[in-house]
Amino acid sequence: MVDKPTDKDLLIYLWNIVRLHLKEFYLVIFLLLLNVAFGTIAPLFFRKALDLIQTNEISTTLKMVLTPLIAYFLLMLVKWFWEVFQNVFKAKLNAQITKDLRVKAFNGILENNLTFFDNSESGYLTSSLTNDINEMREAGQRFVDLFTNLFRLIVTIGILLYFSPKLTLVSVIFLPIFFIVVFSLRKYQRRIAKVWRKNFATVNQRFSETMRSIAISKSFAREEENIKKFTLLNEETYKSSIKRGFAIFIIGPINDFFRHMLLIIILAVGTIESFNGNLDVATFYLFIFLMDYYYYPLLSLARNYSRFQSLFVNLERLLAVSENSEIKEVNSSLNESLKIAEKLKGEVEFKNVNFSYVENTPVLKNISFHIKPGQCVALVGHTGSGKSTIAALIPKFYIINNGKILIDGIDIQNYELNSLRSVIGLVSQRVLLFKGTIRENMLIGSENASDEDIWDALDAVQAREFIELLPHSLDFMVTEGGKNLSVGQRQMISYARVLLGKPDIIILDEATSAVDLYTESKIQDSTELLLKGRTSIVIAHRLTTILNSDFIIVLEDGEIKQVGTHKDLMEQEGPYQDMYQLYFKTQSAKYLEKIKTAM
Amino acid sequence: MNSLKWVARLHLRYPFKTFYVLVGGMIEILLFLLPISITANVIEISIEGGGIANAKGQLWFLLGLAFVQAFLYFSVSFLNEVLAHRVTTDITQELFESLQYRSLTYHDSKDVGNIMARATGDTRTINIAISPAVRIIINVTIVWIVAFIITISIHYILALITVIVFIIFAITTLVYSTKILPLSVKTRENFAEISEVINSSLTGVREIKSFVATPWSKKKLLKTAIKYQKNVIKEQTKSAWFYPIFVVTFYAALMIVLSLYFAYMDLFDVSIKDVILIAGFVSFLTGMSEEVQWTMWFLIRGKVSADRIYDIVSEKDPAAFEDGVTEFESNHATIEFKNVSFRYKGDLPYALRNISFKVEDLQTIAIVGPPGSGKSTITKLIQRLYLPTSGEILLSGKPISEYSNKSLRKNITTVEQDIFLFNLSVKDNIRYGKPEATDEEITNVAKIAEAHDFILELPKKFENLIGEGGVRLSGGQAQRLSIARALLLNPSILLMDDGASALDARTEVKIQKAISEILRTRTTVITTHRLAIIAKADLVIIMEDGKIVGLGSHEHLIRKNPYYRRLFDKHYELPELEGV
Repeated sequence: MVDKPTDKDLLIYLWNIVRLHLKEFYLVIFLLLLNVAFGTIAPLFFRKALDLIQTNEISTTLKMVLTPLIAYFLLMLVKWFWEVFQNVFKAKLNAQITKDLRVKAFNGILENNLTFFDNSESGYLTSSLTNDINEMREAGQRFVDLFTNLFRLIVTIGILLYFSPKLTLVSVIFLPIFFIVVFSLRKYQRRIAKVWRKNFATVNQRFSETMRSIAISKSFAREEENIKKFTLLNEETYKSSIKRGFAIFIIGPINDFFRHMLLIIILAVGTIESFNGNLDVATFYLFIFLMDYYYYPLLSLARNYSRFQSLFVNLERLLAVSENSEIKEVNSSLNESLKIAEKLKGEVEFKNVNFSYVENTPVLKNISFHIKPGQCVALVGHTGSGKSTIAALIPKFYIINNGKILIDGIDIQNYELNSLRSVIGLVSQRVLLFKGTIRENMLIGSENASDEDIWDALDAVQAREFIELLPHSLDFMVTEGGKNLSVGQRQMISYARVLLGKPDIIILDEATSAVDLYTESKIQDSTELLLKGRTSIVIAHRLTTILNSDFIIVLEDGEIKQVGTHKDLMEQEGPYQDMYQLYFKTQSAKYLEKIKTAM
Repeated sequence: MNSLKWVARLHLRYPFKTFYVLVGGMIEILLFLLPISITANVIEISIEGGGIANAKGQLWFLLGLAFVQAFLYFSVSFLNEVLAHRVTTDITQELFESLQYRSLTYHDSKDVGNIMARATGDTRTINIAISPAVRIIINVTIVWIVAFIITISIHYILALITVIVFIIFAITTLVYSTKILPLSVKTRENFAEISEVINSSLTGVREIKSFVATPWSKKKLLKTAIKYQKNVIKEQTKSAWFYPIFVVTFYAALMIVLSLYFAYMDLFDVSIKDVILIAGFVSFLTGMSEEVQWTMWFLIRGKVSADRIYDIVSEKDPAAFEDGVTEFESNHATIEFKNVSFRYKGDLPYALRNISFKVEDLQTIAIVGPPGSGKSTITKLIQRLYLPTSGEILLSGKPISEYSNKSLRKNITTVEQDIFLFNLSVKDNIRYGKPEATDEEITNVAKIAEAHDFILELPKKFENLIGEGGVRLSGGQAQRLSIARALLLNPSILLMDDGASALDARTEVKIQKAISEILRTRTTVITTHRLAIIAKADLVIIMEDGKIVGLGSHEHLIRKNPYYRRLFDKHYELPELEGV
């Protein structure tokens, strides 16, 4: 899909979804066609009866009058039943289309790369996937209407032409003007709808952000300020809603006015014609009766057109985030056969890797290192030195600018993405648990794990004790984001669920930073066995956790400054030595005792 | 007060608009009936052999009417829309405001995705119910009244039939509505579920990607989407069987047939003109009554949505407490816990059990302990984000409940563990607690918090956006902004939840140096794993399972307390520095 989809692209996208439900679609159209036919034919019987009474010929009998009347009566009733059927199937069709649209768009968005998510607001996306799609529920309906209205129009004009070509022509003469007016409103309507939608999404975004940060709002007593800021946005949206209302409702009176004009024309020409003896009164009235049968389809075509406008605005917005190939996370070298990553040895190599999140702000500069299978490597450095970025590059969350990342000697570009991620376990700095039970959270990465496996993993991170104390244990409901557990507890669960997946390469990005030192050392002891034979990359500010690593990579401002074991690095002058000295001074119990006694 | 009264009351804030829409709408629909009778008149002229000259007056009148009606129609429908948006904007506002002042206990039990579904989806439904659903229902009622007037002018039997049909129509419509209502409630609930799933998947997208859990997430949405689809189909199928309209269709056909029959038989003085009048009118009536089908449906949905929002707006907050009146005096603050126990929820284990300690003015206390031992809970209670379940907390000798919220917030600030930065500029994030702060003050605290340097490296410096749509900060950078944010308020009690230790040693030392001066001038509670800070604290509290298992100075605890020894064993094993 190109950046800016055309109306045709949008229609094709919709049609592809409608096409999945062709059976219902055709059924609805069939029912509608019959319905239209009943509706248009019934007035003919009425005309017949009226004609018979009006001309009042001697030969007219009660039976002759009653027959068309009864036919009219029956047709009206059948029409009603038909309408019900049609609505039932329409409901089905609409609901299916909405579901498909939503699922398709959501799946599409999930395929996007992390750069996209870094740059977009989740509230905005949520609003797009919920409300906008609900408004598109009538997408299928619009197509059905398009067909039936055309049909109704043709049938009605056919009948009218049969009875009085002259009157028919006169009454369609002004319609082009009507269409010009309606179409010229199109651009305006679309622009206004866009602004409104954007404002609406901004309000939602602010609302949801405020809700998510309510605790911090409270501790800073920001409630009043929140309300003040929110009011501004809310009122802004109100203003654009009104503009949108104007754009929509201006059509109503225009329709109405033209309908009056049409009526005046038919009445005037009808009177003249019937005065001249060219038109009988019953046919005259048939024109009035059928006027709405061709005026409303026209109106509906025009109205559908404006509904298509807002539908298109929604769809355009949706496609921009769900079907845009530029933001997709794709297997980059599609030509070569991609390798499935499984049972890796765990060799990781960076070759002159450069990377920046935003253009011209390099985050990693010329990074090269080589980790042998089964090694444990520590990344140290000040905040913002690029440690977490390296961690994010290994599971290919971002595409590097240049250089190469090799795993088991193969460029990660050549691995099938999902298989690569399933053999790499990343315990990230910011932990997020989902709403659901602890068990569900544990099973995210490994659906088939048994309770026993789960407990084993939880044991390894020392989490059994607190989970057993919770009501319902593994079935304890974690609230949104894991808010009803402490940060340390969340970290433990998040660590455990990575262990559960038995990854070949494990990356621990401050995995136990919120855990106390004693628990942390217990976790270290108990995971040692589990991590044996796997490659592990550890990021930690607490140097206690990295003393035993095979080697240490020291980063500063996105560059590697030193590489070596703790012992090696302590012998060199350099950032590591400084770092360790500082650390020692703040963390060594013995040192602190020494200082105290010296004083 | 129920939700409908609430919505009605919101309308009364705009009496002119409401009045105009109601009265204007009634006049408009009456004017709508005039063309029908003009048509009958003109056709009568033709029947009687008259020409265009006789009809001229009527047609001119119709032309004038077209203008008047277009104006009236537009002004009423547009104003109706304006009113609907005005009211729903107010509803969103009330919902937002009511949530702002709820207790944290209340918020803990709520799901953001669910509330958002109400704030967005439900307000739109209400919007449609107000404009045009209500107006159309009123219009339909008026048209029925006119039907009665027209038929009684012809013959009382026709009028009688009209009344009976109307009564049947009205009653069946109400019965029908009560059947649709529960389905609508369910649909709205399912919709909120969808919103929840989407919201949580999008905010947790990094986890989902790293666990290759997109299929899991997709399946979850598919499940809720199908559930929603099924309910929508059920609801709409039911609404398609809008049987009340059957009576009206029957009535319309009957009226036309009867009047034609009367005209043929020359009964009751029914003329062809009357037949045309009746035919034109009943088809209009049927058309209008058909609209009742979807307008009723929207009204019901509107009512359901209004209920859902009003439920939250009017919900009692069981954990709400009254604000105190005493102003918290700055600069001299003691903190005392007396047998404090606390649980977040009735079915959760106690987070704190029988906690007692006292912090003197200007002292620093450090709280240590394993995850879930209650460290952060203590700091939350000091901020009065929650009230203790039992026991008492005294600030400067007075129960915490006696202070005004404002003065507490001004004098107690926090650097929280789970740092939340806003989707705003760096500057706005720092001055979050003090919007009126000057640039100088902001730069100043940024310097103290060691954040100044990295801020200046950002493309737009202090104006740079952070968070979703802005730059992503590392954990340490976020923590430093959060420290700056807290320092800006110059609090007399500083709570530092440093559990996540995202700061590296260098930055930490710098910050420590910078704020040690500040620490000396205020009472500080700090939860941390950093030994140097702990060693300097006047008092150390060791927590385990919500209980205090050690209390005293570092020197005392390290010699006497087994928990404490255990906690810092590793720190005895740190390789020695040479030459220190």
